[in-house]
Order: sequence, then C-alpha cells, then structure tokens
Amino acid sequence: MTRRRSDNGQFVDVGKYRAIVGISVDDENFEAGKNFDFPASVKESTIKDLLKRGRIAEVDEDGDLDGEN
Amino acid sequence: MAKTSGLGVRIYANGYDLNTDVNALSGIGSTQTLLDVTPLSKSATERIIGLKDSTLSVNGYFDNATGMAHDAFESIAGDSEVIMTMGTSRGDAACGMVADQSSYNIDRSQGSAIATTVEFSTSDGNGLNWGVVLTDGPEQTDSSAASSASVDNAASSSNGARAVISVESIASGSAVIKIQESTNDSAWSDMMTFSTVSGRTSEATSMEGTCARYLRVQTSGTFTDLVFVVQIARL
Amino acid sequence: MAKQSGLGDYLAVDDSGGSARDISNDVTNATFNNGTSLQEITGIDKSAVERLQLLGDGTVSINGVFNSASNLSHDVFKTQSGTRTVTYAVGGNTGSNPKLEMEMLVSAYNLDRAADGSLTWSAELSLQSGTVPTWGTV
Repeated sequence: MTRRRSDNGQFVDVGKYRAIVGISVDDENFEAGKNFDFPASVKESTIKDLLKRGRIAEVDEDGDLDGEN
Repeated sequence: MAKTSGLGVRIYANGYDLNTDVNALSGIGSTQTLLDVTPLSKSATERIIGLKDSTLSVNGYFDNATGMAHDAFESIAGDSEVIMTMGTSRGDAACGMVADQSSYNIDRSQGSAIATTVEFSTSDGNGLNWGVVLTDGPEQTDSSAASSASVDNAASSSNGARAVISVESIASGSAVIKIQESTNDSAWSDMMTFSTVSGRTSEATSMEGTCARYLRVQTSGTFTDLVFVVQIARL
Repeated sequence: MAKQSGLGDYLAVDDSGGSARDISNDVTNATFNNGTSLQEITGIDKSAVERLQLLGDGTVSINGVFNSASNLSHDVFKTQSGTRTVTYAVGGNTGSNPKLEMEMLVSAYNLDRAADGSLTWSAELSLQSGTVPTWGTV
C-alpha cells in the first residue's frame, strides 16, 4: 500500500487508486469510496481497463481525486 | 446444450420456493401488440411494434404448510418478483419479471387433489426479460459471505440489464447481494447492489450502459445460511 | 416435383440482431398463413358474388421444443425486437425447392412447462413490410 508521511510524523496508507464502485480481486475486496493498491499479480492492462470504464480513479500523493480538497 | 425437457424448470415468487407445490406453468414469455401502419403505397399490411405484455399461469396443488404455496399466494399484495429458470445450473436460461397476482383460484374436483391456479401479469412497465441464472441449484445457499463462480456471456453488452433476486431465508444476520462484472474473469467491479436482506424477500433492479462479458454474484455481510436465487437479463 | 410430405423442410428466422438462424431442428410444427382480404363488390345485376383483392398479409405460428443452445430457437426469440426475415423452404434449403420468405415482427414467444415434464415453446410472427408475400424458389 502506498504510504505517505503526514505532517505529524504518522505514516498513512494512501493507495494509488480510489474505488469508485466496490472492487474485488484475488479474494480481496476494496470498498467503494476508499483508496487502495492492487496486488502485484494484477496486470497493467486490467488496471487500465478499470480506469477507462470509470470503475477506479487515480489519486494524487495526498490520496485525493482531481478536484478533491 | 440441446433440446431439453422441463424437468429442470423452477419458479420462485416473492421469496417463496414454489417448486414442491407447482406442477405446470404456461405463458412463460411475452406477447407484444403489433400496430397496423399500412400506408396507401403498400399492397400488404405494414406493422410496427407496440406494447409488450406477459401473463403467467401457475398450476399446482394446495399446500397449507408454513412457507409453502398457500402462504405465498394468499399473502401477496402488490408487486411480486418472479424468477423462472429453465434449468437448475448456474448459467441456465432464466427469466424474471415484476408482476401482480391477479387470481388465486382453488378447484376442488371429485377424486383429485385440491388444485390451484394462480395468474401473474407483468406490472412495472419493464415486462418479462430473458437472461440467465447466476446462482447454482438454482437456489443457492451461502453459509457466509462468498463470491460465486462466474457466467461467461462470450461478449459484453451495451443496453443495460435488469436483475431479480428471490431470498428464501437467512439463518442469522444480514447480507448484501451484489452482481459484479469483469472483462477478464479475475478483476471484478460492483455492477448492481440489492438492499440488505435479513429475511424472506425479493427485489428487482436495473442498470444502464455496458455490462462486461463475465458476471458473478457476491454476498457480503455477517450472516449464516443465505438461501437465494439471482437472475439477470442483459437488455 | 410431386406431392410432398413436410420431411426435410427448412425454417430460418433472423435473431434480433438480423442474423438468419436455422431453427429447423427445434421446430415440431409450423403454420404459414399467406392471405388477402377480399372485398365483396357484387353488383345487383349479378347472380354470384363478385370480389376484389385488397391488402395482403402473412402470419406464421411456430411450435417447438425448448433449446437454449447458442443461436438456436431460444436465442432467436428471447428478445422480441427487430424485423425478422422468416424463410421456409419445402424439402430443404437447396436448389429450386419452393421457398416462402417474409419480413416479419414477433408478436409472441411463450414457453409451456406441462405437467408431464415437457418444455415447449410457441412463437407468432406477423408481416411487417407491407410487401405481398409470394412463393419463390431457393
């Protein structure tokens, strides 16, 4: 899971993607509205396809979507 | 699959498994009005498609035991969600509709079991829609949260979908039933989500747009022994 | 050609996407009605009826055994949208056999699960095109 160090010194899980709808892969479920990272086994083409279909979106280094915060 | 008998046909209405009390079904399907639009320039009738309709007749035997046919038919008020499967395996042809029950007639003839006839007519403007059953049995028991095997449509579809669930029982807790889609049968995204279930119930829902090639059912929540059927029709 | 049985006949119906599908093996019986309305125009000077032909029409009723295999009868009729070419060839879809072809719309597709365990279907189609149905050859 992608992490960043917040201002108070804590490490926070950010994740590279936001689940727009619930996502399931390799027996792991990622809740809609939350950030997550894919397991290493997931192919690039699968991620691109989910991005293209709007099922996930990329988040910035603060874990925010475009236009959020 | 080839030409088949009706030995695998099953019907579920309003969360009730009717299959031990029903012995025949007719009118599994729909009609549509064809409107005459013949202009002067034609020498034969020209038509266009009008309204669709469905009326299902369910013939069976009177059964007053708890949770059986009499409980099902005498309690129905308003819309019923009806699923009929043409086989008992996941992926078999199945249709679903939201219907109003228009009659529950009893026939007490000499020398025969008390016979019942129930009629359902489609009521929500969406008609009866053909698709497949996504659960296996076709009534499936999930002992806890689970992802079911997928059904492959060989291609995606683009006109949306309509799905119906029929929940017979849940032993404890509450569950959420979802239909998920995938382009590759390994990474899944939620496509349709039903209301949380905590007892016998049924529900129909629709979605618009593209449905990916593979579909599967996923149940989630803290529960034991959810007994249910899910049907989906790509429109 | 002489008097014929219906053995070896061919029936194809388009699916909702417009692709012709040979459903001959799913069909147990079919009726092809190809008629014309007649107007009585008998003048008072006649002793027998005079008539004129008006609008032509065509209807098809098909009965069969349920088959959900790909591109056969269930796939053809499960969606009722779209104009369908219905082709019936007496004796098979081969050279110079009589053939009736009509552009039609589906008006019904219903299944019947009878008490004996059988699962059969019936479908009804009516003329869409306004073109008088005529017999030709394959």
